[in-house]
Order: sequence, then structure tokens, then C-alpha cells
Amino acid sequence: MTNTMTNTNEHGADAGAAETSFAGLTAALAQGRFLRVVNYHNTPAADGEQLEAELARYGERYAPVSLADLDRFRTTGRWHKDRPGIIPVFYEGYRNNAEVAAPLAEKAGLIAWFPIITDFLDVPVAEQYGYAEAHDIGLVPEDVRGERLAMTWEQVGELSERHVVTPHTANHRATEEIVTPEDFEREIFAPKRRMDEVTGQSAALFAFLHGTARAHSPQHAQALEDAGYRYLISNTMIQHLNGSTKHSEH
Amino acid sequence: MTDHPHQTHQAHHPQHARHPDSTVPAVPTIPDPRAVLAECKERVLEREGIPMYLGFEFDDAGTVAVTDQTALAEGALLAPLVGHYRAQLSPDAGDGDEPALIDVLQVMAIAHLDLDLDLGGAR
Repeated sequence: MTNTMTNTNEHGADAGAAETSFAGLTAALAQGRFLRVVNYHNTPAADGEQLEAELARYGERYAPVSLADLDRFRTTGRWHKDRPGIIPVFYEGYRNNAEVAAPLAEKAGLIAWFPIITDFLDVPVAEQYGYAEAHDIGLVPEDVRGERLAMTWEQVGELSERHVVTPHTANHRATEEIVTPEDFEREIFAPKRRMDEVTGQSAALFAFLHGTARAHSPQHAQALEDAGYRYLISNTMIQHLNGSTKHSEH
Repeated sequence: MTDHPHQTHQAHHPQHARHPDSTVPAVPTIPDPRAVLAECKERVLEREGIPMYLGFEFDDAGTVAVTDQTALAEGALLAPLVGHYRAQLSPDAGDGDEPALIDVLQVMAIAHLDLDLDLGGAR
């Protein structure tokens, strides 16, 4: 088991207990260890103009952030671009994330990150609306029952060529719902295998429903490491996972 | 219920430890952070973007420290804002009160996301 609860780094921040605390975040900021993100979910075409303006504004002021950029910052302590980075994050795996948001991010010169509920993509189109309702996937009036709401695996593969795609559990589960070995296999391990198979890459990040941090569930963090993930996106942190140097860096 | 980062206020366990707001921010702060937070919470999360600062935690930080001067300068300006807005928004929140921390980070992002550009000034 990873000793995340007692690991204290040389910068004085307890990497376990303090990681989601005011003290931990204050220390991270003071030490220059922080990132800017903008969290999105559903991106209907009706909002395209507004989204385009937002992303364009971010693109003018900030630099795109790839996984390689993140790794480089972590391992060297230096940000190598002329502007600070920003990460637009589009959660869930909505069809309109691929068809509306991704092109706009590209137009703005940004790299978007897509945490994807992997089983959502495999639900028959006619059942996707009901699946979304049952799995805390936010719908908007533009979403029509019976139409395809999730992106396809082919779109995931295409996105992976220019953006960051990574699992957000298989069925939008929180750690409290991932209990048995079967749960762990279904929600943590299988999504990575499937995504890696489609992209030919190694999915590096993971996010639980409700943004559970590492210290709040070491058992799940260990499973993430065992599966080969390298980062956990929590509510207040992007956390590099212990021992992940044994996995490929990119 | 939505997702993940910054939208979950489930595990609210305030420890009723008053934070000593002893650090004065070096940048102008917004006068009414509660209004900004209320505005943020009124957003339609399913379809609106929510900016956020996230800490970046690396366990191999034992051998690597950030040396980027811009990041350090921005961080030096941002760090005191945590205590400032904590005192404004959730003065009784304990150090591990994650929902309160999320609120603070959201307000900071909305008010100061451009801090790196002008190194001063709130919206």
C-alpha cells in the first residue's frame, strides 16, 4: 500500500493529509506548484459562440498544456513556454465535446483534456439518454432522447491525436461505489485497457466522480498505480501518483 | 449531482478552527467575494465553464522544486489570497474543509485568473 498518508516532501507539505487542505494548497501556490483549469461538461452547439469566445480569450493569454508539458514541469520545476499554461477540461465524453468543443479548442490553439466515462460510449444510442439520467451525466434541453449523446470510440482515437483523452471511470462512479475486486476491474482497470487499445497510447490521468483525492482513499490510489495511471485529478489538486516512475513517462 | 472537481460539496466536516488571517495580500482583492461565489454557484454547471486553480502535487518533489520565476512570482501573489478569501468566505472552516477550500479556489480563479499577466489587480 502506498504510504500517502505520511509522506512529507522536502518543501514541508504533507503529501497525504495536507493535500486537500488550506495549508497544502497555500504551500503549493507559494512553491509555484499550481495549474489553471477551466472545467466544462456539456457543450451544446447552441453555446458554441460563447465557448469559442471563451477559449479564444484563454488561447490569447495562455499556452496549451500537453501531458509532456505536465511531466516536464513536474520533473524539472521549469515551465518552458513563454506564457503560463491553461487546461480546458471537458468531462464525461459527450458527443458535443468532440464535435463542438474540440474544434474550438484547436482553433484557439489549446490542448483540451477529456476525462471520459468509458461505458457511456458503449451504451446503445437509443439508451444513452436514460443512461445519462441514471449516471449523473448532466443533460441540457438540446439533448434529445434517442439521439447519440456520447462520442464514439473512433472520435476518442481522433481526439487523442491532438488532445488528452483519459478515463473518468467506466460508469461515473465515486470511490465509495468501487468496493469489490470486480468493481475495481470494471471501473479502473478495464477503462484504461480499452482506451489504450483505441489510442495506442497510455492513458495517464484518472478522475473519480466527486473528485476524490488520493489521501481520502489510498486503496483506490494504489489501484490507479497498478493500472498504470500516473496522475489523479482531484477537486483541488492534480496529484502525481507514487511509484508511477515504473510506468512509461509518455 | 455532477462530477468531480470543484462541484461537490458532500464531505463538509468543518473543524471550527478559525484561520489566522495574518497575511495581507499584495494584490487588490475583490470587495465582495460572497457575491462572486454566489454568482459562480448560480452558473449552469452542465454547460458553463468554471475556472479553477489546482495545486500540482508531485511526490518526487523531494528532488524537484519549481524554479520557474514566473510561476514563483504568481504563486507568491496567489498564496496569501487563500487565507484572505478563507477569512471572508468561511472563517470557521477547518484546515481540511475541502468544500470551503473549493469555494476559495473558485473565487480566486474567477477574480484573479489573469494575475500572471499584470501581476496585480482584481477584475
